[in-house]
Amino acid sequence: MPSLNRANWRVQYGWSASSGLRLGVCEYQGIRVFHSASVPFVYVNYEGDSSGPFTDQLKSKKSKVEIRDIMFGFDLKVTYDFYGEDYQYEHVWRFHDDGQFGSTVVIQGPGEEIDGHHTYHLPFRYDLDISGASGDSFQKRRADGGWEDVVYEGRQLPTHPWAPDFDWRVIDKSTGRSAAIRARAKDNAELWALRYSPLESWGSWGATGSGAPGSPGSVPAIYDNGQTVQDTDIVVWYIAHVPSMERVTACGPWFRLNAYPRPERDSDEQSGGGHGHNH
Amino acid sequence: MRTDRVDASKVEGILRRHPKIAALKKRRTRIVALGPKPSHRGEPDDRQVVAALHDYDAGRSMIALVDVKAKKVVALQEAPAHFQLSADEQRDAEALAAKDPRVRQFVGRRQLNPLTRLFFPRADHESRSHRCAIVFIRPSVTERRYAIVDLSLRRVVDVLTRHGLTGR
Repeated sequence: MPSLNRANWRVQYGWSASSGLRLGVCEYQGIRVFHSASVPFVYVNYEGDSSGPFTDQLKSKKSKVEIRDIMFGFDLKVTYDFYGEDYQYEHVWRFHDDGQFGSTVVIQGPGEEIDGHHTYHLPFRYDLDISGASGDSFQKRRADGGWEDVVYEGRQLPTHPWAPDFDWRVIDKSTGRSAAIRARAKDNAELWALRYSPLESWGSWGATGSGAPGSPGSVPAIYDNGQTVQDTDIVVWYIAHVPSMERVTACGPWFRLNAYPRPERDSDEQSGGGHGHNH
Repeated sequence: MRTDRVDASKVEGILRRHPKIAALKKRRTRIVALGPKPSHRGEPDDRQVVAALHDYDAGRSMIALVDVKAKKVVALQEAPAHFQLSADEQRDAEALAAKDPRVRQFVGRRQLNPLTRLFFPRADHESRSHRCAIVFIRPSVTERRYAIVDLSLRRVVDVLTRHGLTGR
């Protein structure tokens, strides 16, 4: 995998067979943040299950990865145009120099009908690695603003889906470092925290269930064995359920790192990227 | 050996020697996904590939971890999920769709211009438990038919109009 050093990040990235542009090991300020990240596939179904759902592989006719310097960071941007003009997706992996990062897919559509009767279900998978070992814990935000442990694997919903906040985090309690996770408004999002397993990891290369992601018997529920998500190796699946009525729309989770070394952003030169290129 | 360029036939040869796979020799099985094992901390990252096989007769998928250098199967288990269509499966589905009389009548002398995806028939459909593809037939910008191809039966089981697909 090629790697890129920019804006306090070191990011590995590369194309996969059917899951588009995947990320490998990513570090912030020289400290591991996640081991891999991907959008395994897109699942599309029609209102009333009129025929049956299908999946879109995320593939491109071109191998080009656009690297864009932006204010306070950079983007990796690709277009998934394998299925032609009517079924196109754009994918942006964004990194900011203060430790924020995220993955956004723009659904161009329109697909096979234009009256808003189909839904796109997009899983975003992050194999987080805050502790650099199997010492991460999953927590959700309490109503009073504090955090509480979530003991077992399973599905979580945003506290206020219409105005989401950083409702979840994966924390290394030994150092206090964490990655907080925010859902995007209108994603109808859900988040699954799972303990890493090889089967789940292998299946992340495009494997899907017959039901929509997040539903019982589908991914990632099939990998939920009721194991603890405390002091272990954690994978999160963020699932966006986007109705086609929200046409030409974007979805995807956002992350913010906490208690990592603070960047020295005391001059304009630091924030613009443009140095330390290694790709 | 670079695992991102491994030959599927070599992996298939290694798999065929595994007792569980050898027992399936009379069944129609095929590798539908093959790639380097996703790296993970503390695990060996080279030499190993992940192969997903589909048993079309039994309607189930298996996933194997194969050490291509040692020529052995490290792990093999039933896959709880469905892998995306392979390029071979897409070609097979499109070839079957192209031969279907309903599709031929619709397309006429025009190009099929197909797009093919993994498809899950409705719960009440005869092919529900089979591996299926949907072939979008696009002879023009606006005209569509959708051939549902049962890859287990190796035949087209439905040709839908846009109304049939979308319910609209």
